[in-house]
Amino acid sequence: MSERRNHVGVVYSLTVVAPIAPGREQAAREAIEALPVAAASPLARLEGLHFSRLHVVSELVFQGPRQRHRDHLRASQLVFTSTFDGELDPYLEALRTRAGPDVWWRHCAGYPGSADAASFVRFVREHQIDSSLFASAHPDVTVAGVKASLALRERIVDFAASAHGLDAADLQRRFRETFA
Amino acid sequence: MGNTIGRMTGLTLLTPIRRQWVWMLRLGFFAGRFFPMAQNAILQFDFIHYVRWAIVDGLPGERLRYRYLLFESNFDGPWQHYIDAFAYVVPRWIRLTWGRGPAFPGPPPAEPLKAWIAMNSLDGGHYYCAYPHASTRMVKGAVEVRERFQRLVEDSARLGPEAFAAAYERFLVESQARL
Repeated sequence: MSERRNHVGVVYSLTVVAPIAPGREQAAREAIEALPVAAASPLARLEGLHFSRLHVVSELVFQGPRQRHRDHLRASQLVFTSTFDGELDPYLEALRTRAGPDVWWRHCAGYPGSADAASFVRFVREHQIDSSLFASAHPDVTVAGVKASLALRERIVDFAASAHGLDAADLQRRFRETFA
Repeated sequence: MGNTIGRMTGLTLLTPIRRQWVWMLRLGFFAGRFFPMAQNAILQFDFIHYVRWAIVDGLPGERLRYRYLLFESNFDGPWQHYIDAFAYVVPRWIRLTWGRGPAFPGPPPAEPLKAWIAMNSLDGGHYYCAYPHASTRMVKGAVEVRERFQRLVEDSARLGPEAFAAAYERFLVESQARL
């Protein structure tokens, strides 16, 4: 049941919250901030990954006098979220072997490293928080589907511009040469 | 504020839930999974790619007096527009979701809600998107065009030139809003 809550369409929502080891918060922040961004991000090596975010939470925000009790974190928490195609285990294997997750999780208490697959998966699952509700505007489209659709859209626009004014026979011939 | 890449923004909030309302929130999320109407309330805005809520019952090694609601939204455009849309179009839905926390400023108006979100937003970190320059509308439109285009490709093999030219014109007219 809980696994189903993390799915919508073909997409899975992973949320992992893990405590940072004492004295390692600043190092964790620096490691995350130093990650290359966009296409150079290590997360870009994961073909089925739509979105991902990594950040450190050191304090729970106090809401003011209407909050009767104030919570303080004993340890800063490293929050890792991913929205990806397919199931969790293949994603974790790709994450483990291709994205270098030790860069950020090595600062967390009890992190076993990524060398051993079983230990790595156990760590992630132990710190996973299931989604209560997960929704998407395009739940049935994979990353590959998004990219292919956007690329085709560009090709169609280019073709329409170049084919303007052609007679019917030339239009069909050019169309088949381009797309068929 | 939330992280950005290209035209995308990632907004993450972690806010306390009043104890007596945790069950109600669970019930609401449970219903939301099975009744599309609840999801449509938020997805009606054509700028949200993905959105998740997770009730945090506890964290290893921590003694928390509240349960917390982790909210993450990935959307295109500036977050102020996003909040305006929520505050004025679905205020009841927003109050039902976050009104179970202390000090939540029930919208409308939008300004107190923006201040509350700014206060609770988890900033910094690393943010990744596989298609950072594609708005939700672009993605949905491109997917629809792609499906329709497949039929045109099939038509190009079976129709004569005049009939194909007519089908092509029809395709462009019907798809132009998505191109």
